[in-house]
Amino acid sequence: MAQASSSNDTDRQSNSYLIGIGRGIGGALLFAIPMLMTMEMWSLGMFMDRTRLFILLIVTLPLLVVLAHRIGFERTLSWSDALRDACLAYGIGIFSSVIILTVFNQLSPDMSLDEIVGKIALQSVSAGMGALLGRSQLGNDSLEDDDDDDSPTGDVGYLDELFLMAIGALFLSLNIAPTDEMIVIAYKMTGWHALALVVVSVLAMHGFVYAVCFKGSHMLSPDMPWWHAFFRFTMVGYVLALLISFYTLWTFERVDGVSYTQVLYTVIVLGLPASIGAAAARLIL
Amino acid sequence: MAKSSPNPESSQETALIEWIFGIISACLVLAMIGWVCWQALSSTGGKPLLSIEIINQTQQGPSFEVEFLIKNDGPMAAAGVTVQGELMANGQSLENREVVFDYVPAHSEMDGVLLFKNDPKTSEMDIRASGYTDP
Repeated sequence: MAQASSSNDTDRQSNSYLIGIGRGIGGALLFAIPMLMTMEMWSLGMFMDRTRLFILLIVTLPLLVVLAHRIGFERTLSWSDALRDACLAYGIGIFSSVIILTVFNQLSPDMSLDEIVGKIALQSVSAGMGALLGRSQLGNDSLEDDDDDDSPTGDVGYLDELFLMAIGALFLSLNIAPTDEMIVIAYKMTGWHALALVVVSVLAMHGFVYAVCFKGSHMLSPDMPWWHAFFRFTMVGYVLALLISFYTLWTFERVDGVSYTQVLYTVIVLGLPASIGAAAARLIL
Repeated sequence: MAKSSPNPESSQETALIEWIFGIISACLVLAMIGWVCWQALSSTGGKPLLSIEIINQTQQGPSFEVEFLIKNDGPMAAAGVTVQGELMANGQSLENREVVFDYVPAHSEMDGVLLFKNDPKTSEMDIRASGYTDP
């Protein structure tokens, strides 16, 4: 009898583990489909600078570990569990990318190994993040017993908060930076458009978190002036978003040989999605 | 403010680093706005200004590579920039090659290569941008 119930438990555990992996694949597809179906991403996978690709792949791992620590497959608490989950998510990302790219006939045996690996590796970054996000966003919490009560949605330290913003900004800018539209918009903008875009980005970012009261919004205590949060979070977050925009543009070789002003305009253009991503990450993660 | 306050947005003990980050960031954003503003005020509009500079000539197997820089010194980006290279001998055209750049941004340079069958060193070479569109 006792044996039967314990094997039942094991069944349920491995079942919920499989469900977690299924959600991971779902998340990878949901969040990476825009990139998997972007032509520029295929060609970037083929020719982008291998050092930059390597740096991107290495940078992704600690980001996934921190993400896993917050929202991992099994609400992990220890860092070694988070590392395991991050590797699993990265693996799911690679797996999903291989499946989808193969279905799109973007991978074929007559391609060089370098091209095949490059295409998969580039996609695996956002697919891996998607796999982790899928676990947290697609999850049906009623299945998770009651351990969500102590889920880390409450207070987070200031640096944690900045880190989350960085992840959100990176995710959205990775999605959008490879497209030609970024540079076309930047080339068409005048300085006045760029200035207006800065204002719009900052307002969107601040509004997202504080003004419009989405789920998980950070409410300001009434005795604090609005500009406290504006300087300590929104300004810092916007600069982070711009830095990350620059990093992704550099990774995708969009800044080589281009004048400082044009690079700045492109960074400002990409800064809009990046800052919205950063603001959304504070609410979602 | 009370140390026991759980909300990071209302505790002053940890606020120092937040204020340092906040002020540095605000200065950076202001500096950026200042730069863009200056650019906006000083730009008078205009057109792309394209020029070509040959930086290297080598032989690679059956073809001769001519590596060049295309510079845009104008205040506007150019799209679909066609660069044509022509080899001539005794006033007669030997061969024509062309390459298209998707974009050449304002005040920027891009590099490209033209591949010739004949040795450009033994003939007269003319490389120039032959057209562009607005991005």
